[in-house]
Order: sequence, then C-alpha cells, then structure tokens
Amino acid sequence: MDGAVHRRIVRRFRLGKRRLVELVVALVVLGFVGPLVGLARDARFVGRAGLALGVLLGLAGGVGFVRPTALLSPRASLVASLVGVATGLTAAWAGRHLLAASRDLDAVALTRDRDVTHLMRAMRSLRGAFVAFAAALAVDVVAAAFTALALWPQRSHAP
Amino acid sequence: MTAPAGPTGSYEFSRDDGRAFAALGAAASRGGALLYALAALLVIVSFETLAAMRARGPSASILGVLAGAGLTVAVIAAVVARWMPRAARHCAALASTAGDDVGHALRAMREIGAVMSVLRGAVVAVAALALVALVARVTRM
Repeated sequence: MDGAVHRRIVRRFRLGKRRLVELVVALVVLGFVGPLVGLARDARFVGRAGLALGVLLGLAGGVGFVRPTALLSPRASLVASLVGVATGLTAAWAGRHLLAASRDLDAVALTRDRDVTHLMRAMRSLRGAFVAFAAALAVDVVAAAFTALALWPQRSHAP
Repeated sequence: MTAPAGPTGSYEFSRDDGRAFAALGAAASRGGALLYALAALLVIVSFETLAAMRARGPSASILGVLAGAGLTVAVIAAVVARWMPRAARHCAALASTAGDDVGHALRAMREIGAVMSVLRGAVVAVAALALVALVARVTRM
C-alpha cells in the first residue's frame, strides 16, 4: 500500500470516527434521547397491545366463521368475521413492526455505536407499522361505510 | 450522512435516509386521512344505531352501548388523526429541506410519540372498560 492511499484511509477513518462522536454529542445535546426512550416505551406497549388485539380479533373472526352469531344475519355474520380476521391480521402485523421499532429506538438511546443505522431501521419499522395500521383502517373504513349504507334505509323506512 | 456543518453537529441525512423519512411521512399522512374518514363514518353509524335503538325501544338497549362505543372510538381516532399530519410534515421537511435535519427528526419523533401515548391511553381505557363490563356481567349472572 503506498503512502497516499494509507493517508487517505487514515483520514477517512478519523473523519468517520469524528462524525460518529459529534453525532452522539449532537443527539444528547439536542435532547434526542428523552423522546426516543418515551417513544420506544410507548411503541412497545402499543405494539404488544396490537399483537394481542390482532390475536383476539383473529380468534373471534375464526370462531365467527365456525359458529355464526345469532345476533346478525348469516351474511352479516360472515362479513363481520372477515372484517375481524382482516383487522386482526393487520393489527398483529402493525404490532410486530412496532415492537421491532421499539427495540431499535432503545438501541439508539441506550447504545453508542451505529446510532444512525438503528434510527433508520426504527424509521423503516415505524413506516411498516403505519402501513399496516393504514391497511387495518382501510378495512374498517370500508366496513363502516357498508354498515352506514345498510343502516341508512332502515331508518328512512322506519315508521 | 454527509459532513457535519458546525461544531455542535448540524447533521444532514443522506438522500436514501431522507427517502425513508419521506415514506414514513407519507404512510403517517395516509393513516391520518383514513383515521378521519373512519371517525366520520363511526359518528354516522353511531347516530344511525341510536336512531334504531329509539325506534325499537328499551329492548334494544345494547344498540345504545354499541353507539357509545362507536362514538368513543371516533373521538380517539380523531385525536390520533390530528397528530399524524404533523408528524408527516416534519418527516417530509426532513427529506426536502437542509440545515435542520436533527431538529425535524426530533419534532417528528415527538409527534409520533404523542400518537403512541394517545394510543397507549386508549388501550388502557378500553382494557379498564372491558374489565368493568366483564365484572358487571359476572355479578349479574
């Protein structure tokens, strides 16, 4: 290895190390750690709740397929079961992403190396959680719209 | 990340990182719009359910409970939906502007943290209500 290449590598290594140290200082100085810890804690809680909700909704939907409720017509019961399973799957998916995001946010706040890598991984997990959340909401919006449409004529024809 | 601009560390995220933040902002924005739509529809369905309860009389009191639950969820959805576009704005600013990336990231984190804390409160409240309903049902049996 010639001297110029060696010097360039050393310079780049020093620059990288300095960037890392300055990043850590900047994150601490700007109070980055506090919101990250709070966000990680809340994301963990909401992620676990989403996972539990997803499992329960999926189970309820599955039971609804096997034994339709007497409170609804067979078709409405089938639709409700489908909505339950779809919402449950997406909620569990969002919960998993949120748990992954909380782990990476914890890593940003509590470890010193690879802060940016952890932060970007947390952002991607949060994005996955929001996409799953939006998918669950889309299912619920369609279900609520159909419910509103189904209820509307009943009221207008009511005596 | 590119080179720091000042001694206190004014950092700029790379273009790829900016795209990841922009995608997060877009997903949050879509989630906020859907939450508003869901809240509006739930309000309509809840009032329809209340009207159906009034038409059927006291025997259909369960419809009143469902309408109350629907209105509660609509309020929670509207509150969460208020924070989503703010987080989306900061994520988009992080991708499209230069000079205050850490500040934008911090503000985006705070807004997403606010969404998470509202959701956390909603989970606790719903769990408490479910427990109360379960106790009431068990004591009536």
